[in-house]
Amino acid sequence: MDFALRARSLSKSFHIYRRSRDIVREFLTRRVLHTDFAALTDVSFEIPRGEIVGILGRNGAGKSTLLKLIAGTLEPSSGACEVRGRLSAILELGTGFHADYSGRENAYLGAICLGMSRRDARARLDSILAFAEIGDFVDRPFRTYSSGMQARLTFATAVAATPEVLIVDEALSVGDARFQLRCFDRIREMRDQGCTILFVSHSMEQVTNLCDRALLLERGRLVSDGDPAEVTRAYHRLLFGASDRPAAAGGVAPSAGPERVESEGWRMGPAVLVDSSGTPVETLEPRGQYEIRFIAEGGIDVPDLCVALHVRNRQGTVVYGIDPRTTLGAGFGVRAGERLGIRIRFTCHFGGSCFFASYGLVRSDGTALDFRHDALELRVAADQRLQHASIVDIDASVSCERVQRA
Amino acid sequence: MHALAFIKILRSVLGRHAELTYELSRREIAERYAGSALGAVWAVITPLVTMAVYVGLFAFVFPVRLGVDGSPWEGAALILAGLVPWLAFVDVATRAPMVFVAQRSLVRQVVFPIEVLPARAVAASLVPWAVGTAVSLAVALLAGGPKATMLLLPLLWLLQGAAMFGTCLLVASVGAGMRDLREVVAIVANLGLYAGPMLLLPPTIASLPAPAQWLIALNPFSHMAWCYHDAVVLGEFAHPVSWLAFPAFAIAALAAGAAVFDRLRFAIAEVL
Repeated sequence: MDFALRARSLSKSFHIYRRSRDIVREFLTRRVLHTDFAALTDVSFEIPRGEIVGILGRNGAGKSTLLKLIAGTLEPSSGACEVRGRLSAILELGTGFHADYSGRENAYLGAICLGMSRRDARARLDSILAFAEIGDFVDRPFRTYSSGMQARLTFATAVAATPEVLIVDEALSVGDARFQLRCFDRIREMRDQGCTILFVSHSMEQVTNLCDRALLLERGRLVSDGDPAEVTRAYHRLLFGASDRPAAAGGVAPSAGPERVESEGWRMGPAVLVDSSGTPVETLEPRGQYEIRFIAEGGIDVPDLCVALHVRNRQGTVVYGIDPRTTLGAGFGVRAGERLGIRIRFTCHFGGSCFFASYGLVRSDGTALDFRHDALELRVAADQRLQHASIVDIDASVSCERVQRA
Repeated sequence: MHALAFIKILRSVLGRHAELTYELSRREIAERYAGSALGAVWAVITPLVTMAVYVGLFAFVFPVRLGVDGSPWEGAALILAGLVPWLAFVDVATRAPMVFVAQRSLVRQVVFPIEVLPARAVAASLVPWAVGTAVSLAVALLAGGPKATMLLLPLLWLLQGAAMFGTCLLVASVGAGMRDLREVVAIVANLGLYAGPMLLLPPTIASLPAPAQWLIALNPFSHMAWCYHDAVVLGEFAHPVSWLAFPAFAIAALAAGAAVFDRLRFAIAEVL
């Protein structure tokens, strides 16, 4: 079988010394002065090419040790680990980055570290910086970066070398929601090109949505390996005992400069989200009525203008999408130079989480005139009636009555 | 198996990761002097002052008759020929213990070939070394004119580079776990200067008691200095033993440094 990664009876134990001079004393006297700590015990698995594998486990379960063994920074105490193909890893935030160098220099050096030639590194530099979205900070020292920026630059650099095996330790969890979404898109894209991705996460939501497979570590042993949904449940039992309450998702912050597709001279202005009285809102209340409003200006005549809208959650799953052909009847006929005020009315039937709306102007055959991906953040307030992990609110109601025995 | 580790490491540093070595060395050299008002001028001034002090003291203030034509300039040429390579070596060796420690984040990064770091440390010493070499050659030309043996200098430089890289690998690897090594290196560097022909001219050495002479003959750096004396100033193989001892020392240092580094490679990441 064509595997990308194989671990066979992988074990790692660390020597723990009470004082640093014990190392020298042990070396000289050959008397054992250390205690062993088994971080990983007899772990075996094989991962084929093109799979996304999530690693779950409590703190200290051996996740980072496993990643470091695979990456080759640690030497196994016994067993073996084989990696086929070029490897890239994000183990800690900003590892390998020089605090005093600018983001640009760090990305350039980082790319060379990953095995790119200086020419390639120079050629890819712009796309790395564009993906990292660090704006004016590119020429400021790395130490002035927020942890989110550090994560973005680290990720952008690590994936730029088109690795065949990518290892990500919790680094992604610090990026904001929109960046996480883009990372997940990128990870899926890489998977489709045959890259194998291994990532550590504490978010069961992420693992079930993104991964093809999951591994669960507990006290250095591999206790579960297989379908993400199964493994997540096992992890959940580890964390909370038998209860099946899902874990909470973290808060998010909006981010600027969304991706945009534009063609044929139709331009949309920025969108605002308002409630039924027309007041701009930041947080949506469950079942409230809202409108997305924007202005569009036309560059050309279009006989069949339609509006497209879809909404994704943080993992990139489309939770709502409307067929554009149904939005404005048979399409709205507009002339070049006209100015349109567009309102998309909706009722908030989302669960209490964070979503991203993509919207745009299209023609009835589906060609985009102007489209913005994930441009509007919809932050929905938590609702007492719903379980935390609910994505949608189908407004279920329950009735109960006594009936006669037949 | 470890005896040949140096081949693997040289292939990494000068082959596969040559561009990384180059890029990091360039930055290291630029940074060593960045932020100071005179910038790279210090790369010239510092070695010049050091050399001037030693040469002034040992060739002019306490002149020792050389026996040949007695010109103090010939003494100065001898001292410089031996002193310049020694100072370059000391420059690398004293920075070596911190090579991995100071770059903790690089060492812990998986995809980073850490053998590049000692190579960079050696590269960074090239600037003062080159300045010193230029001065030393100039003085030698003034004092005694060109010598055919000067053509052997590239060979000596290559051997010394290998010895410095090996020493740096060794000291950096061990120094990652044993921070005391810094002080040890500083002391050895201080004493070593006086345990060889770097400052002591031939008549002085001849007047020393036998044990001291033995000590000097056993110091590998003495042989390095004697080779440079022969090539730059004397123009003849006045120290044939040194021409065997120094290359042997250089290759042994490289092999030993590489072997130790290869052995400790994983331990380094673990202790940092």
